Parts: sequence; structure tokens; C-alpha cells
Amino acid sequence: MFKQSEHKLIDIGFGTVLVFFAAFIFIPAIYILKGFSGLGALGDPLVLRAVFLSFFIGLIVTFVNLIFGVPLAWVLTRSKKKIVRWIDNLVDLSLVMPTAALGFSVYLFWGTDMGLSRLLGIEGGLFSKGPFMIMLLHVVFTLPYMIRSVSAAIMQIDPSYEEASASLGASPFTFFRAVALPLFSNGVINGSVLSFTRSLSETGATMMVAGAAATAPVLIISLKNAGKMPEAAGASIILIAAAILILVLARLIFGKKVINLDKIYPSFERKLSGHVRLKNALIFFFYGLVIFLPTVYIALYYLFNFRLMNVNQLFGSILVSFGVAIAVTVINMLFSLPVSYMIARDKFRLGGILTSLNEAVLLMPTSALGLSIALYWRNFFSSDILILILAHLCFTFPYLVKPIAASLQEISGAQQEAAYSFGASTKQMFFTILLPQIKPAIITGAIMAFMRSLSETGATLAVTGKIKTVSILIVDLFKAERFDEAAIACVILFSVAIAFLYILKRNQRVSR
Amino acid sequence: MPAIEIKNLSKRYHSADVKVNALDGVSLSIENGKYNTLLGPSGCGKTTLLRTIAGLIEPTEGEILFDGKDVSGLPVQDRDIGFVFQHFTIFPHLDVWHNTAFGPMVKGWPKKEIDEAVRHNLEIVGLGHRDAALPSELSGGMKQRLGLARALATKAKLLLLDEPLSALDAKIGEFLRYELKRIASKYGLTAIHVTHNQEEAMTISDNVILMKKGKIVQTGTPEDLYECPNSIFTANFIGKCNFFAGDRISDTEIKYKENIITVDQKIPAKRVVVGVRPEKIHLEEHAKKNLFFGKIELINFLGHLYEYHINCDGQIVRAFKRIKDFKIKEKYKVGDEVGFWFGTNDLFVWPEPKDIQEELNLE
Repeated sequence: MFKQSEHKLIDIGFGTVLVFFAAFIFIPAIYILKGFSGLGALGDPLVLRAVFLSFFIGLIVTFVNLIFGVPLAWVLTRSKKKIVRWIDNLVDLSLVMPTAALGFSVYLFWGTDMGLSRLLGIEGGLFSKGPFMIMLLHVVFTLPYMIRSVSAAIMQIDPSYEEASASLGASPFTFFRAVALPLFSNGVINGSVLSFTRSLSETGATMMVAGAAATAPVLIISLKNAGKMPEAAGASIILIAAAILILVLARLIFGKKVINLDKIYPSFERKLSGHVRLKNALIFFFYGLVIFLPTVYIALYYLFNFRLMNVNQLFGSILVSFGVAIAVTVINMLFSLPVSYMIARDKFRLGGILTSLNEAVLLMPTSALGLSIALYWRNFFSSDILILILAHLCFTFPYLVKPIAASLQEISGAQQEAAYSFGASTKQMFFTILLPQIKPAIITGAIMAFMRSLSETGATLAVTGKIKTVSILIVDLFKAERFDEAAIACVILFSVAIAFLYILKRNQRVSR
Repeated sequence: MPAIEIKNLSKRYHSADVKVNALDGVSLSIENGKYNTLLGPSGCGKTTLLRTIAGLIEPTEGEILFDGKDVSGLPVQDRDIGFVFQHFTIFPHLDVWHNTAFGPMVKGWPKKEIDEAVRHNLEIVGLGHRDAALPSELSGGMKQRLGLARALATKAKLLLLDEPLSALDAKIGEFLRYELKRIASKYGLTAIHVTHNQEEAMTISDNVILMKKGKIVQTGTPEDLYECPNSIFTANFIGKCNFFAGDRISDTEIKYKENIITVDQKIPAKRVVVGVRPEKIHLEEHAKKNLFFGKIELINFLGHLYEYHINCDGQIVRAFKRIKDFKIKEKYKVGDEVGFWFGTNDLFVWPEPKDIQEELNLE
């Protein structure tokens, strides 16, 4: 794919990138395995209970996401109504919004007398802190992953399958379950894996609404803060191993390609095809009540209780958070291009391995990941901010590689060869052929990476308790019951999220 | 009673500020048990018409009657049709057996009837031995045969085919077209088959419906359309034809450039177009009437005949000559001056249309 004369130089370049990838992403991520002596933590009932709770919450959340996310994705992908298009745009809001702000917003809505209970005229909050509130929170930021995965898979289905099915007499419901569902099942599996691992991973917001309960990521941070490093490392390994196990199991069990029909119940399924308005109303009601309102409630609350406050203390946190996020995004934007290229063109036959490594990093619980990275780099230097940047670099990297690699795969190598046949150099080819076509993917990846970094609490806390990013500050203010100050910080993050959501949507429309 | 009756069917699309008349007041009768072809260039409305009959498209205006009953309100599920798709559209997650069984299963037939229907239809299309195969293991031709078996399994009497052979290799498509005709005839099905390939239409149709720009231009047997084309478009689209535009100078004579064409039929207008098929042109130096001269610019060898491109006063006239005996050396070569003639009854005469180029446009 490259000019003959430049081949060797370029190969060396790629090799160098691979070395950097190993040194800065891969090895730090698995360094925690060195602490396998801490696996004695498996015997600790505290650790076991935390891991069990995390898994339990993850499964329930994934189940709820399946029940409501699949029909939501179905309607959002196929309806052309304007209001549905609007909701489709808003779905990603809880995805880009930093989870600490979401945590506060969700707690405000469900758990205080300033939320839903006020609208219903009930005294006190509807629910108290604990596992149920954690589930309410986790559904909010994991549902978009389910919807996006399922939507993407639904969009791949050739519309003529629906016509074929109808021409043979099948009702819409029969088409959905006998033809469409098997065909978009990959999206369901991907969405489930993402839902589960995101839920497993979340730390800061969970801390806010957990009350006395402790999920595994929360426990890891407590153990680390208490100086119990071996136990923290042990719990981290268990968590990482569990996440990878789920990933592998899901792909194995549900990777079947042939799903034959057993029986169809024509009249029953025909009846299920009806009442479309009612069914849509129900799922949109769920979305509005459980996802949308809790997400934006912080903004509504602040609007009605507007108080101009001293934001000086926020200033330092904002500087740190944005500084880290920008640094990490820019470095990764450069770094991810060659890695994405290697994946897309299967360079050195490493395409498959690099994709799997990328997926694994994406799904790893970030507090465990943060701990691993911190332990690794503390061998070399002690600057907290530097290690923080390196940690954020690691878990945001996949957010850029995924869309860029996918975008590159759409561009056939023949285009590059055509450029060379006109005498273009590699540099010219890159800037005139590749870059313009992958620009939308770079923008999408950059926004996702940036917001992810802003949002992260687990990895940040695992690295250091001293640097207060905005997300950490929100958790601290919340714990100290300084709600008004926390609210302002949340609103700032909310505004940033809305702005980026808008850019994201404009970018997606351009690239379509 | 005709199997299908279409009355004044129209389909209009509005997109941005562009209005498209995909179907423009189409009226048609389809007889029971006949093999019909919807033929025409891209964008002529043949696929739109087929899909409207199937119920996949809702018409803007007009009626569709199946056996006298209005089906306009019926969704496609209830029209009892078999539809065969251009790109096969075989359900990729079901094996051959379950793909074929889909229709009967969806209709709630008892297991025994489903088994019988699947076995029978897979035999008809020659896939009886591959019922456990996956679509990914099948060739294009096999996939389309499966598509046909699937469409037939529900015992629908109306078979609709949307360019069923266009996605196949030429030779496979050629073989399969005769299979389609054979099966439709054997089971008394009424078939409507869309194609842009006029050879396909001519070889298997009982009735050809030629369309252009949303309207029906001519219907009839393949012979009707070939021997009595009602327009320049028809004569040009089906088979090959030479066209000469001229003025009527007497009851039987037309002046074409410096020549006179004599015809033995009524000349319908002052300004007319004469059409002559290449096989009706004879290369000879002497003739009583309609003798022309020109220079051979090109000779194409088509296996069973030669095609000559003769430049006659600036116009290229195409002529065919059968090759009866290869041993006899071809006497003409490029650059030769030749004479050619055609019979006074071996031609068509139409009034000259407003825009000849538009008529001759194959799109």
C-alpha cells in the first residue's frame, strides 16, 4: 500500500509505534498481574461480597437494558417521525455526560425531596442510597451503549428481507423475531457486553449513591487508600479476569451463525404486531422517566434554584481536568492513526491481535486499570500529574482507534494505489486521500476520548487522591453535602456535554 | 375474468423540488396462467408497477383487482403472492429447508403439509438434495432457485419476479429463464417478470408489456412487438432497426434525401419515419425498388451472421447477412462500395415524432 521506495522507512515507523503501544498501553495495563500474590484476597469475604454485588448489579442492569433498549433501538432506527429523530439525538447525552454529574443528577431526582417526589407531592426522596439506586444510575449511562450497538446492527439489515418476509405472509412481529432478531443478534451481544463492563467499571458516581454498599471498584479504591495494596491488586485482578471471562464467554456462546425456526404462531404473533402506538408510548415513557429526566434534572434544578456562586475553587479543577483531557486527546489522536492503520490493513498480520487488545483495554474496569498503570509507572517516576495523564492515555486510546480503524477499512487500498500511480508521495497520499475521508471518525473518536477523560473517576482515584479533577471534586463536594457547589460543577460539565453532543451530531450528519 | 386488472394506476414521488411520475395512468389486463414480462429501460416504471401489484408500494391513484376483487387496501401479507427478488434475499440465518418452509410456517400449516410443500418445491427447482445447506454455501444460481422454491411453497397462484436473473452470470441466467417458464407453465401460475433484457423477454413470454417513462408503450406477444412495433421506440428497443426520416411525395412514395422509398402501405403523415430491420436488407447491385448505395465502414462477425455498417450519405445503415457456408469466402471487405435494397413490404412507417432523439433514447 505504500511506495516501494518508502517501504522500509515506513515499516520501521510502524514498528516503533508498536513498541510505544506495548510500552505505554499494553504493559502498564497488565502490570497488575504481578500482584498475583494478592489473590489471597479471593478468600476475603469483603472482596467476594463486593465482586458479587458488582456482578449482580451488572447483570440486572444489562437485563433491563435488553428489555427496553432493544425495542427502543428498533423504533429509533426505523421511524422517520421528527420527534423520534430528536430523541435519537438525545440518547447519546447520558453517554457523553461525565458520570459524576449523572450521579448527582440521578440522586437528586430519585433520592431527595427536590426531585420526582416533589412533583408527586410525596415527602422525602422516593428511594434511598444503596444497590437499587446504583442500578437506576447505571441504567442511565449504559442504555445508550445498548441502543447504539443494536441500532448499528439493525442498520446493517438489508430492507428487502422485510419485504421478502412480508411477501410470504409474515406479520411484523414474526419478521422481528424470526428474521431481524437473529440478524442483529451481534449488536445485542455487543451491547450487553458493553453494558455489563461499563457498569462493572464505574466508580465515582457509584460512590455517591451506594450508601453503605460497596461495589468492587469502590472497594479497590478504599483498599488502596487504606494502604492495603496487595488486597487492592488482588481485587483488581479478579475484576479484570471476570470482565475478560464475560467477554470471551459471550462471544463463544452467542456466536452461532445458524438459528433455525422451531415454530411460528401466526395469529398470536399477528396480534402482537398491533397496538404499535401503545408499545411505543410505553418504551418512550420508560426512556423519559428513567433515563432522560434523571439525566437533565441537574440542569432543571439549577435553573430553578439559580444562585451565582464563587467558582474560584472550581477553577483549579477545571484547569486540571480540561488540561489532562486535551493533552490525552491530542496525543492519542496522533498515536491512534498508525495503530488504526495497522488494524485496518492487517499490517504484519497483527490486525486481529491489535483489535482484541484494543477491545480488552476498552472493557477493563478503570479503577483496576488505573491501579495497574500507577504501580507500573511509579517504578520510573513519582509525578502524580504525569502518571495521571499516562493512565488517561491508556483507557481513552481505544475510543479513537475503534472508529478510525473502521473508517479506514471502508477505504479500499486501491484508492491509495491510484494516488501513487499519479506520482504522489506517501505524505501527499495521506493528506489528500486518507485524511479527508477519516476526518469524521477522528472527530467522533476525539470527542468520545475527551469526554471519557473528563468523566473518569476510578482511574484518577487509583492513581492519586491529591489531584482533584472536576469529577472527583463533585464526588467530594457531594460527600461533604455541599450540594450547591456540587450542582454548579455538574452544570458546567452538563453544558460541555451538550455542546460536544451537538458537535458530534453535526459531524455524524456530515459524514453520512 | 382476467387474473389481474389494473385501472389508471399512478405513482408520484415528491422529493425536495423534484416531481417524478414513476407510473402515469397505467391500465392493463393480465390473463390467468400466462407468463407476462414487464420490459423497458431503466426508470421506465416496470419495477414500480410490479411492487405496486405486490403491495410493497402504495399507489397515488388507481385500482388493482385480483380476480375482480379490489386489493388496494390489502397489505402485502394478505395478497397471497410469491415474490422473487433480484438479489435473492434468502434469509442468511436459515438453511435451505427452513427458508422454503418459512411461508407455510407463517401461514400456520400443519407439520405434515409443511414437510410435503418443502420437499415438493425443492424437488421442482432441483435442490432436493441440499435441504440442510446454508445460503452461504450456495452459488448464485442455486440461491435464486431457492428463492423460487420459497416463493412457490405457499401455493400462491401469482408469481412476481423482480429482475430475477439480472444478478446471475449470463449463461446461468439463460438456463434458469427456461426453468422459470417451465415451472410456471406446469403449475398454471400467472407470472409477471420484470426485466430490462429484451432477449430474456422475447424467449419466454406469452405476453410482453413494454414500458417507457411510466407509461405502457405496447403489449402483445413477442412476435407482435417484433413484427408490428407501434413506435420507433418499440422497434429500436426490441431487436435492431434502421430509421429513415422523409417526406410523403405520393400515396406510396417517400422522399429520403436524394432517394425514393417505395412502400406498400398507407403513409400516415406528411413527415414520416421508415423503419427497416437489418435482416431485411439485401446486399445486391440491382433491384426494382428501394435500391441504395454506400460504403462499408465496418464488418462484425457474429458467429452465424455478418453485420455490415454501411455509410449511405452520412447515415450508417446496418445489414445482416446469414452465413450459410463457411467455406465460401466472404466477398465484401471494409471500404467496398455496395448496393443494398429492401422490399416494399419489409418495412414500418410511422408519423415522425416531435423529438426523434428522445424516442430513440434507451433510458
